[in-house]
Amino acid sequence: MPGLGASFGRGAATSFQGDLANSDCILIMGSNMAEAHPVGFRWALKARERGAPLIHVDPHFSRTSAMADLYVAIRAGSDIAFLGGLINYIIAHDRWFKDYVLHYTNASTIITEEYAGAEQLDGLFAGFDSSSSRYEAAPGAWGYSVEGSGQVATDPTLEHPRCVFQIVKRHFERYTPEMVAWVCGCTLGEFLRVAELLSRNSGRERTGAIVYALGWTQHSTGVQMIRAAGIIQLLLGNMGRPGGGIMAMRGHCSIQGSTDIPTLYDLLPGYIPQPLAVPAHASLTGYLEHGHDYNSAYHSSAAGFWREAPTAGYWANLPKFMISLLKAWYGEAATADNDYCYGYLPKLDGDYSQLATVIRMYEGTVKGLFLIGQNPAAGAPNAELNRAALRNLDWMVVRDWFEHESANFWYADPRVTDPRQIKTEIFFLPAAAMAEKDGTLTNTERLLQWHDKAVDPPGDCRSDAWFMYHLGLRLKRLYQDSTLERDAPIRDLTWDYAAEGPAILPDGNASRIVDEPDIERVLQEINGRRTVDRELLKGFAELKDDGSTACGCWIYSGVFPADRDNRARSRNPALRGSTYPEWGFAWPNNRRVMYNRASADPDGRPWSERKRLVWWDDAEAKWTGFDVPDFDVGKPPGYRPAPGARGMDALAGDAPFIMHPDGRGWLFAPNGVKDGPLPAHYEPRESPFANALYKTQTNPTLREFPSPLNQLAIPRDPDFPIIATTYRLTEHYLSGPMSRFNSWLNELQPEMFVELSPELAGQRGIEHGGWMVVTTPRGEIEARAMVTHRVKPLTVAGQTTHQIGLPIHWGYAGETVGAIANDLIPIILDPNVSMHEAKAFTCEVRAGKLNNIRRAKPIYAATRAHGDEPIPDTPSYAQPEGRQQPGQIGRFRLVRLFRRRSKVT
Amino acid sequence: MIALAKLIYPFRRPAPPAAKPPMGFFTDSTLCIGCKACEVACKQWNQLPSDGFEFSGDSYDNTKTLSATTWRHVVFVEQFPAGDGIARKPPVVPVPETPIDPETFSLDALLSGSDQGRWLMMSDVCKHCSAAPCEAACPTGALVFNEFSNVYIQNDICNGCGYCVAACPFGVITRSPHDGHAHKCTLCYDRQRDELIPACAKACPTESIQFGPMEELRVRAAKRVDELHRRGIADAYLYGDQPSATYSALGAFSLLLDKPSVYGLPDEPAMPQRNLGGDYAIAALGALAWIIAATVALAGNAILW
Amino acid sequence: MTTVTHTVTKAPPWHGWVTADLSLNSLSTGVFAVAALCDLIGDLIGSAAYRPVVRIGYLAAFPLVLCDLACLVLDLGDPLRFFHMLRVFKPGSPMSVGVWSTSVFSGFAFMAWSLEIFDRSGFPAARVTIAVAGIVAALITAGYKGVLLSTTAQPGWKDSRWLGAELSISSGASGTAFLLAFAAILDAQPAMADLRAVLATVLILDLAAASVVAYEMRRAILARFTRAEIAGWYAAMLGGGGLAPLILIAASAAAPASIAAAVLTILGAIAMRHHLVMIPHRDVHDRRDAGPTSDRAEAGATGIQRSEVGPASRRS
Repeated sequence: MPGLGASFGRGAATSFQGDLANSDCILIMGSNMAEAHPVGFRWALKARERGAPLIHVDPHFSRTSAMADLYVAIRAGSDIAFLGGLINYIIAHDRWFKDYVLHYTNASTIITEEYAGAEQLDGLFAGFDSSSSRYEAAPGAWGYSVEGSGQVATDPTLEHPRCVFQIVKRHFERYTPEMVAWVCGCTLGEFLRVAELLSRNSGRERTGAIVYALGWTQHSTGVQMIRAAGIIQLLLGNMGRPGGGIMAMRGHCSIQGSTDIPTLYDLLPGYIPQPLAVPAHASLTGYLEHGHDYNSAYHSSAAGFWREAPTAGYWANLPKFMISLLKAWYGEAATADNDYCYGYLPKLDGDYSQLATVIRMYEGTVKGLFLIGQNPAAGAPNAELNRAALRNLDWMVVRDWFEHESANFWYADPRVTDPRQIKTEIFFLPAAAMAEKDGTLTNTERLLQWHDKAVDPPGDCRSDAWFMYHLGLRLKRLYQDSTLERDAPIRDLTWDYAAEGPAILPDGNASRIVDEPDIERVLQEINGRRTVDRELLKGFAELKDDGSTACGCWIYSGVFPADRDNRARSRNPALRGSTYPEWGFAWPNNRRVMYNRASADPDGRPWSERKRLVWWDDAEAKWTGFDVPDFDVGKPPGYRPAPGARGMDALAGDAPFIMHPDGRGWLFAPNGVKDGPLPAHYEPRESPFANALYKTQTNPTLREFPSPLNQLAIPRDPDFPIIATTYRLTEHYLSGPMSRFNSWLNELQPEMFVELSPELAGQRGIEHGGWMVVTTPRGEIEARAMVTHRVKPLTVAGQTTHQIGLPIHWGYAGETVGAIANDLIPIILDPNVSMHEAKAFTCEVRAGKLNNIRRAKPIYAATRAHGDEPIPDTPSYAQPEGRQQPGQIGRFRLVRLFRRRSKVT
Repeated sequence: MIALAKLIYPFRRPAPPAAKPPMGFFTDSTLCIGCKACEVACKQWNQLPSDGFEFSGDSYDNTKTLSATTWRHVVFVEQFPAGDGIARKPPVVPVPETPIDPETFSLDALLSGSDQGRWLMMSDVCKHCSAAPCEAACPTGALVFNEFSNVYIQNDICNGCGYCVAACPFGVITRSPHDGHAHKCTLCYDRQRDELIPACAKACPTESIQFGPMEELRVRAAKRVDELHRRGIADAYLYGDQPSATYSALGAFSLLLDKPSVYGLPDEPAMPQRNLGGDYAIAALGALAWIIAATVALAGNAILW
Repeated sequence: MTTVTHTVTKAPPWHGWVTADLSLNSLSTGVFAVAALCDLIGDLIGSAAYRPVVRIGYLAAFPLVLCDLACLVLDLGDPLRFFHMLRVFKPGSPMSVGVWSTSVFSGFAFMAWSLEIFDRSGFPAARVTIAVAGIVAALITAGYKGVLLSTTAQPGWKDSRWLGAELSISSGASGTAFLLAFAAILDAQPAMADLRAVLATVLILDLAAASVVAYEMRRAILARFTRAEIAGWYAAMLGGGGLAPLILIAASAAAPASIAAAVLTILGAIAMRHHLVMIPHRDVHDRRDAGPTSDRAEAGATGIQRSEVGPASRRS
């Protein structure tokens, strides 16, 4: 997310999956799209069928690779070297889209004199504080150079040694094709093919797309991998154009929604930053003046990455978003006099991200936990540490479909010898499934799709909304007579989501659950209303900062613009040009392709007719086209801001990246990412290799959590010479709660296995189908061996390197049980989003099983035991009594006795 | 009375429904991503039991085979060269090298340059043969061609003799140990009668499984093969869209990239009943031979004696 | 795997009951046919020498065919639905032909059996009709089985065109052997001597036909049985069930030799049928029954990929 946010302004996939069908070349890297997004992958295949090459660069040959025209195996964790090589190739061979880069990126911006890059500082950037392992608060050494007049200095000839273009060029000079092959383990030919295919299929007439997923994000340098992709797409001129862009595949059905309406500790809805416990944020005015980064999410109080509020760009509207949010939450109680109840908001004083909280649980300072739709005991990195943390809780409420590993660890975890020793009191509240409740999902492409309740959930199962709603009601009742100030937030919370009656199911019957909240009311609050007459708002442009509007999430505003007009429910598949504007609702304001101003040249004409999306209509004096313009609709291309202009007026008519203060895409990120303005290749924390590009071995700002349960290998540890990575299979889902209780899925992939090459298997005496043990400093697991040529040894840094791959789907709860891959993953966090490094670590393997361990036993689901039930018969009235003769299909007829045998023709 | 009713019931059948245009499957294995949605959709729609949880080691195929309880089966075939034998040289120093001339790479060479191996995936199903040996073999008339020209087992008639199992050259049917009857893909007959498409075709995310009128499918498939040939995939061909010298056309035909036996299909399926007449003739010969020989031996002996 | 290696077809779920059915089928039809033949020839030459043999034959055929039908019913997946076979008559399906012909044959066997039980002397015209028609029914019933097997897709079976003829001839041998044994026990001369001649003749035909069939099925047999097993089976079937009885008959006219020859013939026939039924199930490297068997030693039992340098196999 911050990779995209820093490059373009918003941290989300920049286009929609269907747009992949318009691509002329698709690079899938750090993603297993065919297995993790099988339905979305149809669009990539449509592009392939139209002749677009599909390139898959990945350590693991998956079903995506099988569908690709070109597969390149690389070493896990070497992605930045590869991408840097692509950038170097594009610049060195003059393949960048000059007009686009000049006008739409900050290539011509000159950077301050204090800046020094990784090539000068051996892998570090200027401003690094080695005592805190952080870069100093910006702007400092990475900022734009500002002239005396207050304007940012630029050089349109791109010659100035400190202009962004030259800085980028110098930075990536050492990422030669040979260096790429040396570091990544691919061949020169493979790398050059990728570079050439991408270059040829970008430019004025053609666009290429990049697809990534957790293969990039789950690294200590993940954010920078995405930044590298951003630089490539900006150089090639692919952003904001049909078939271009960067698809951040966020696979869980509402994972995008879970950061939009966030369950993250440091975000408020719509990526508004959570206030900090600092004097500058004591009041609302202070917060609004000092509190905002252009894309707020990616800071923590530890880094204190703040700067002056932008006066230019769309974030200048922060006060409208923030005050409307507070009005939505606290209703009548929020007035101008009390800062709109700004004081009710918790202020951050530390890192409360999930893994940091788990560490606190492990240390015993967290008493209780609500665990909703998550399974950290098997699904979180360093799962054993997570289980140890859960064992330290006093109480836990688990809401899920089945008793998964986190719910039943107290008796089912094979490492628990005596359940009586576990002090955690666990409340398991069964949850409703998707078809058993109303609601929306916001998927990868920022698309809100409403789903209707089709059936009642069985028994005591209830939706999570029901639970939260009733929990809120009970808390409000509990505190309704309290006069304490600290209880005021609960008393004043607006909580008017009661439904008028039980829902009517599609079969006409009333639901038996009479107290389900009305989710449409929730969505309407999120959309926003005028406070005076409760009129629904048509979009975030109507938001005000005077308390007259209330809006639960400004980026979703527009999803419910009028009564009975639930845009999230819309299912019209009609194409308009290349977009599907009436299928669901995409934020912001139903824009399908973000930054689509960039699909037209600085004069407002499409770069090419073949790739037109949005263009300036002179006659009507507005932007028009196939998509909602991601721009001020009435702003002409020739508009130039007056000096001192603020907000959107400060952006010119040819500045497509409106969330940035300069309206440009950022090749060089002066802020927004904590580990550098440019991507530099660092080795993963656990790696058998020294960094061949710089002396700095690993990301200098990554965070470690020393703990007996979180041991790490030293770099180039001879005891752990093999690189391991993790991945998904189509047949299972995450750590198994949604798939390993289903016989039909279990029979497709019944056992945990590890994939390794025949060369490695031969060396270690491991047999295909036999048992093997994988060992890391965190512990060992045993699994079946899948010995396959799909995994091949690579030659990295001149030596043969082996990699293995582990699917992450097994645990000790379910119909099939198996080792937990996450027991091997360490907790190492990237500095930007506290994302762990699961995709590259080191291990050793050997043949055989583990000794002296207790093994988990399968728990068969109550509904369906395998193989016991007969196949249901079709009733007699439904049987055909068809002809005994085949029809005249083909010319082969049955041979019949006593009839001349027909010649077979 | 109930016993009597049960005795009479199989003999009383209404008139068959009027024939409709033949429907079937075209499975384009070049679009198959091996997701097995077809397997799960089929199992879920037909409420078939699972077949147990056994790690086969056969690539990602733990389903292994079609049977009475598995009516869709995705085959995985890995064809990879062992190692690539390419020696890699380390860079001398990390400095920019002389630029490579991109003109030396042609786009086609770019795409077909390396033999990186391939992973073939295909969804196997009952072929719904136009002239089906199983239907010919069935002695109870349980197996019929329904009004869509699909091969259908009426499971209130089947008594589990197992002859269809023996007759199928593709190894599609088996007899279920649960109820003793033979079962196989019904081409979602119940869905078709309600004008829905089969569950597997509905679930397939990439339209690898295509359902429709046979004529239309054949035209579409032929065009697809031509297009693949134009794109340089010379291996592509259709299996079963036309009758061969020894077998009829298939109602569920496929586009394949290698020999049929690589996918677990017979290279040259042969209609077992094509030998029927000849075999009866030879059997009659044998019968006559021994009866005559016996007669001669008996009579001769008797006369001699 | 670089290619699917298991057998494509599925073996039908036929094991012991079907062996029993094959054996009883051949025995009952053979017994009836030979008995009827003796009856007719006896009538022709006006001799009552075959009477005891005919009586034994007619008395035994019907119970034997009933047992055969019972085996068939019990082999069904759903035995209670056995009568569904009588819904249709499909000449294109050997099993349908067989169901009807066996039913018709049982009718004749029953009639013959009733005649023996109740009144031997009356209805001479009926007796002849029953005998002639019964022989035809018996021959069809004996022969359809082989055609049933050879018009499937099963490896081995599908390759043999002479299977029907062989099973037909074998039924003649078994039937003759059965009657010979009783003739020897009852010391019914000249029936015994004549039957010895018949058995010898039919055994020679049987050995010839069996050799042809084995040759036709050689590939499947070699693939599915070890050399040792093949040697054992064929020693039992051809040697023990064919050559040995021949030698015994030729060597001695004494009753014990004839009885021994008869027993060996029948046992050899049963062994042959069991071997036949097991062919699709068996595989050298995988002894699992029912279902596709995994394949050869080159790939290894668990299907590890073969190393191949260069491109994968292409369709030729």
